[in-house]
Order: sequence, then structure tokens, then C-alpha cells
Amino acid sequence: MITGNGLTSAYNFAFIDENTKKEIRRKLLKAIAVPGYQVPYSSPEMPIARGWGTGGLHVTLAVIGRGDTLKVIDQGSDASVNACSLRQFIHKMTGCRTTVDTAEATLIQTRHRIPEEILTPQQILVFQVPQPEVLRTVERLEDRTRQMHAEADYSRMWVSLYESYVRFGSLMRGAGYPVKVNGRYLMSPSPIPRWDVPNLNDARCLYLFGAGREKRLYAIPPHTRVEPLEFEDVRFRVEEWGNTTCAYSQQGDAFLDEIYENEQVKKFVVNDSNFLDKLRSGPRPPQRLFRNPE
Amino acid sequence: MISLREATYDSVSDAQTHFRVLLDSMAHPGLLRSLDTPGLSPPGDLSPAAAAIALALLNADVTFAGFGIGETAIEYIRQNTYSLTVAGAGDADFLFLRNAGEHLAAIAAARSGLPAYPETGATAVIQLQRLDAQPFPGSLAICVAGPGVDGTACFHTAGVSTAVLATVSDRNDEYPLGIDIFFTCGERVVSIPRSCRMRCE
Amino acid sequence: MGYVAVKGGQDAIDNAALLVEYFRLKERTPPIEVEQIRTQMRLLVDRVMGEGSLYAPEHAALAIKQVEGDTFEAAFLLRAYRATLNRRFYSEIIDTRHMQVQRRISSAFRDIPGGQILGPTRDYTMRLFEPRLAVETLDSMEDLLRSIDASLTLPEAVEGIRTFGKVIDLLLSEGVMRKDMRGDADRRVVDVTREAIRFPAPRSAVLQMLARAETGGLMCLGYSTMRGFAAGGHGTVGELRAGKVDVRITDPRGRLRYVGRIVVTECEMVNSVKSGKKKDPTPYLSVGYGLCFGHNDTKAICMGMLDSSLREPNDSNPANSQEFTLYHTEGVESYGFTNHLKLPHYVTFQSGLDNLRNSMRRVREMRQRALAGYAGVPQS
Repeated sequence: MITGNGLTSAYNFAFIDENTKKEIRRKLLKAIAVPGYQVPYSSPEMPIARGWGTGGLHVTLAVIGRGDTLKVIDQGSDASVNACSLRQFIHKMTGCRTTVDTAEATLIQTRHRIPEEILTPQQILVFQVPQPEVLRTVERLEDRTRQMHAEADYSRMWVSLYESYVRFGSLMRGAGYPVKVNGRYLMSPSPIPRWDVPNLNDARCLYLFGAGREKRLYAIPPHTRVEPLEFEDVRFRVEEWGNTTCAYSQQGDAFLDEIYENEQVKKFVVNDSNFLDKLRSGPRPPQRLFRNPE
Repeated sequence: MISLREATYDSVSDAQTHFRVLLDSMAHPGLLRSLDTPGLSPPGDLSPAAAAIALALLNADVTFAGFGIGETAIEYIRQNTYSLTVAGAGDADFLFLRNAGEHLAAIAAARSGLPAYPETGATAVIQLQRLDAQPFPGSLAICVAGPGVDGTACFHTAGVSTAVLATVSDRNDEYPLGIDIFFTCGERVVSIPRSCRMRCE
Repeated sequence: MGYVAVKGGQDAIDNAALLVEYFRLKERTPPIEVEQIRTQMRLLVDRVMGEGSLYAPEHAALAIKQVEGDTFEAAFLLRAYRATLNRRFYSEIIDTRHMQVQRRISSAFRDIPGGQILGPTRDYTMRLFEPRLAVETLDSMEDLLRSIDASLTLPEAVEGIRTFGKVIDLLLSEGVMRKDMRGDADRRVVDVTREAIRFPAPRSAVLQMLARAETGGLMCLGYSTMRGFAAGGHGTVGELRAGKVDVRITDPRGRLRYVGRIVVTECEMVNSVKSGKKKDPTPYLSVGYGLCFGHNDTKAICMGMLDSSLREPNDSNPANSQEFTLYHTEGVESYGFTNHLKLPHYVTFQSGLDNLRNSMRRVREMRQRALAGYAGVPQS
């Protein structure tokens, strides 16, 4: 008979057992030693569904300590329901402080955005990654993509970018722009917008990436060369909003969300919820801005 | 067999605190970091930082080998981590070295990983006699550049020869294959991942 | 925005959790007992244990109750729970030759030593509704059980038989089946729950993943091998047996210890293949093996078919591709990822919109320039 024992016993600090934490920790150190390379890991099941951030959770829970201050965002927003769910779970399992203030956080878990405000050497940004294999769109088999990375054979990705430009007029159609890390590995930065990609290069903070379903971890240390793929005559460009500014803060130079107020009226709003709060209440926080080539 | 198990080491919170130092260290090669180890009393030929690294990272799923450290130190690591000892440097996930200059063969034999799985390359914990951010009389300066380093970072050592560094550089010649290094002395640690280029002065 | 909006998101998920409990109970029917699910939804419990990769009938029954019968969620609950448990031992290999057989058939032979034992199966029932089940009572249940007990007599044919020999042993002794025909096969034993799978995967990893796979997914791919979507054909059921087997571990002092008994279904599909060895071109019979928790004929049979088909690599057929079969029958992962599309994707969508608009603008400009060219207007 299930009497409750074993089902309601106290959880280990940060939920994950110590052996799995050690495995993740060893692999994170290796990931940092080979920037941009995807390290396979055991990725045990978590109480949240695969595809909903188990990899990000694995990294956060293996790294977090009692002294950390945690921020969790999804599509740039602290208020997103899945961010709330994850934040609540991590807080419950660690008792850590939580915050929505980017500058106050020591550990930030994110889905698909890098915060607008510059991150410092004391901060770690943990990305939730749905598909870690940057080559998956050009080669569906893992066995082969492993070989391609081993041999640094990225020709099919280049061809794919060229074909995309010829057919659609742009190098990449969506988010998750391929980057080359430390001059060696092609990497998927996760589906962040192009706006965020330049932030990966020569950063001051540590970037860790967790793909739970696909069971891969990877990392970009600070001060690392991260270059979006581009051609000499067709350069990488971030999104542009022209003269449009945020409807609430009247400012630009940030990634804007397009919101339909009703069927006729559209407005644009700064996507990063904490950055927007700060724009509306005080001085503009420091950012790294990338200027598109002429 | 006497028990060498650490009585006051907290395998949850000490391991996490020390790991964060190691994570920060590996992400900032060449910069000195400190592993506070008040509760640890490893055998004399294992520096507290090396012991802390073992306790934070090793368990029954990985293997280790000791070179230049005694049987007691090896037993200490085994009892506190349940990690398996192997004799051959080429079979070890972790190598613990002291007087590394006398064990160049071990470094030369350490696993550097496979092209499709470079992370299988080993981690070497190399103990030094002295480790400082500033030069001291007779010190050997080691300077690193690469991912994690803002320009160049130098640290100053005693107890490691240029031959050791040359052997390490050799292993790391065919990046991404290579071995990753923690240099330790007392409670101090400094990392050199295989992605970084080393030069001595 | 800040705190208020965050509280809004938190309130939404808290309310959703309350609401789903409300939907479970709002019609005020008597609460289902976990024991009722464990005993009267036996096959559902067996399926969930298999996909949850944890032999724990009570926990599986509780999971089924908690998630209102959603098998994906129930298996997920078990897996998540399993991930929190300490693994202290690996068991000894279970010996299905010593199974306490509840069911044991062979399609390859009309008669086999010990006989064809149908056991508890609905295979030969007519799929017609039984209205009496709508008005079942404890009394009617007792009556039925009493009448079954009264009619049970031990057939002479199985008197004295404790275990049933394997059909494949007959084939081995005849020599039409030989062990170790694939000398170069990867015989490493790996645990995919401890390390991410690598391809090409050894057979131990393949069988482990198939044993944990979602039954419907396996059925889909197993079926595909029968309809021409796999090289090698599908084979014959050499033997399908289900029943209880003992589980033993070796304790730290080296002693063999009995820890309990589980119900498993085992299927040995028999197929004729060519030898893997170059110097021996004779064909031989090979086994496609399936084993899963509880009574689950479909899963065991499909496992057997897929074990065979995955040993004939061919990337153009899903059932001949390790990566296709193993990744896409992994129920917890595929359930999670397909459903993750419900998460907000507006930033990635925005990024794509930006690209699309730029492309449309470029096409418009190109067309305008082209038209201007035709009209003889000088181009600026």
C-alpha cells in the first residue's frame, strides 16, 4: 500500500540527485573547455515536460546555490506562464531569492531571449534550447551531424544559407541564427532573435545552454569569438523597426513586440519586460548595441 | 583500513560552492580563484584545492589515477568519492599529479578525447609548490590567451617545468582534442582549458 | 508592469491547476480507489508501467487516477518519479525459461511441447458490448468468480509441468538457428538513462529504448514493417509468453538475493536472414526480441519486429533506421515536444515576420524596377 512514504519525503536541495548534478557539472566544465561543442549528458526526466525547459532546469539546478538570486524569463517576459511555473519550481526546490530585476540576478534562466541590459562577469545566463543541433535542418541524422562537427565540415549549412538567400532574399528565415564559436564549432544560439546574436560575442558573462530532450549541454565562455555566418556581400543584419518606437516608453533600440490592439491598430512594445519597466521609471540601463552594415 | 572520510564536508552545499568556483575558474582561464576548504583535511600530499576538486566532481561513474601522490591520498579520494582508481593514465577521466615534471609520461598518455566526442578527454589536477597572481623570485610565468580570457592573463608558479607545459601543449595541439588543466596550490586554483594557448616567460 | 504582471501569470497557472481538479470531480461520482484501477484497469496499469519504465503497479494506478487516464501524463509521472530514486543495484538477468507462465503461444508451430496455453486474453472474444458490466455489483462479481472457480480443473496435459521449454531451444538444437551468427555485433551493455544514446547504438540500448517506448508509436512502426516499409519482412511469432518471473540481485557481499516477482511479456519473433559472416553464406533463423512489463502483447510483438528490422540499417525506411525508430517512439520526449508548441513563440515568430516583410519588400522593389524598365522610364 502506498502510505505516502517515498512519495512525500523531502526533496534533495535543487531536486536533482547529487550524482546527476556531478555529471552535469563535469560536462559543463568540458563544455566551457570546448566552446560551442554539444556535450551529451544523461538528462533524466524532470517534473516538467520535455520541450518545456528540462535542459535549462538541469543546468540551473546543477549550478544554483543558496546565495543565488534567480530570474526566469520566457520570450523576454518574467510574467509568462511557463516562466512563472519554472521560477516557482526552482524556488520551491532551493529556497533561493527570486527577482525580476536583471541587474540583481546572479543566475538567469531564459527561453529565447538575451536580456537587453548588459550582463556582468558575476552573472550566468542559462538558455533553454529546443534543438541544439545547428545542422539538423540540413541533415536529419545525429550520426552524420556528429561527424560533420568532428570534421568541421559545414559546407551544407553554407549552401543552405545561400539557397535561402536566393529563394527568399534573406540568409535565414527565422530565429536561431547559426554562429561560429571560437573559429571552430558551428552552434545554434537557441531561437533567440537576430537582435540578440551579437551579444554572444566577446561578452562579459558566462552563457550556458541546456537541451534536455535532445540531451546536450554547451557553453560560451566570456571573451569568446562568436560570429554569425554571413557572406562578404550578404551580411548578417539584425531586425530593424525604422522610426517606430515603443508605445509605452517612446524609446527604440530594443527588440520590439508587435501587438494587435484590435483589428486595425497595431502597436509596438519593448519585449524585455524588466527593461521596459526601467525605461519607464528611470535612466536607460546600459546595453550593447549592434549597428547593421550599410 | 582507517577511515579517511571527511566528517564535516557537506556533499550538497560544499560541493555546489566549490563547483561554482571551478566553473568561474574554467570560464576565466589564467585568473586565480580560491576554494575555501576549512572543513577538509586531506593527506599532506594532496592540496586542499585538489581534494576539493575531487570531492566536488568525482563519483562512481568516473575513473582517476594518481601520479606523485601516495597511497593514502589515493585512498582518500576513493573513500570520499567512490571513484574507481585505474593504473594507466590513458584510462583515467581525472589525473591527480604532484611533481608533474617526474610524470611527463602520464600527461603524454592522458586521454585527449575523440573527434566526435572531444569531451572524453581527461582533466588533470596538477599541484604546484607555489601559485601567485604576482611574480616572485624564481617564478615561472605562465600566460594564457583564448576563450574566457580578456586579452592575456598571466600567473606565476613554482613547481612546474616548461617540459610539463610543453607536454600539455602537445596534447592540446589538435583542438578540440585535448586535456583540461586545474593547477592547484593550497586552496588556490587556476584553470587552463584546452581551448587556450599557453606561453611561458 | 513588473510584479503585477508576474502575479497575473502565477495566478493563471494556479487557477488552471485548480480548474483541472474541478473538472475531475465536478460530476460528483464516487472517488475511484487506486486499488480499483490497479486491479480492474490491469492492462492500462501494465502499459503505463512499461512506458514509465518503473515496475510499480500501485504508483502507476495512482498516476492514472491523478491524470484522469491520460497515458502520456501517467507514464511521464512515473518516469519523473523514477528519476528521483536511487539506483543501488542492477538485477541479475531474469530467466524467462523459469517463468510462472500465464500465457504461452507459438504461431510457428501448430503444437509445441507443453501445449499452446492461451491464458487470459481477449484475442478470441467477439468485440461486442457487454451490458451486464454497466450494472455490475459486488454480488454479481462474487457470483461470477465463484462460478469460474467451480469450473477450474487442471488439464491432464499440464499436470506436473512447472516450466515450459522455449521454442527457440528446439530450433537451436535442430541447428536451423545458431547463436552468435553476427560475430561483429556490438555487445556492450549500456544504460540509456545514465548516458545519452549514441549512434550506431548497441543492441542493449536499442532494446532498452524499445522496452520504454510508447506502445502506439511502436505499433505504428511495427505495422509499417508488415506493409513493405522495411527491408527484411516481419517474421513469425516463434513464442509469446507472459507471466511472473523472479528478480534477483547480488548484494554487496556477493550473495544472490530474491527481491520480488514481476509480470513480463516476452516475444521471440523468428525470421530467416543471411549470415553476417562472409565465409558462410547459408541463411539461418534469427530472433527479434521483445520484452516489456506486465501483459502487453502488442508492445512485445512490435518490439520483436523492430529489433529485427533495426538490425538491417537502411535510412529510407523508418523501421530500419535506429535514429528514426528510437527517437520518435520515446513517448515522454515526443509528448513533451509536440505539446511545447503551446508555449509562446512570438519572438521567434516576430523574427520570421521581419524577414518575410523584408523579402516581400525586396520582391516588390524588384518588380517595380522591372516594370519601370519596360515602360522606358530611365532607372534612377
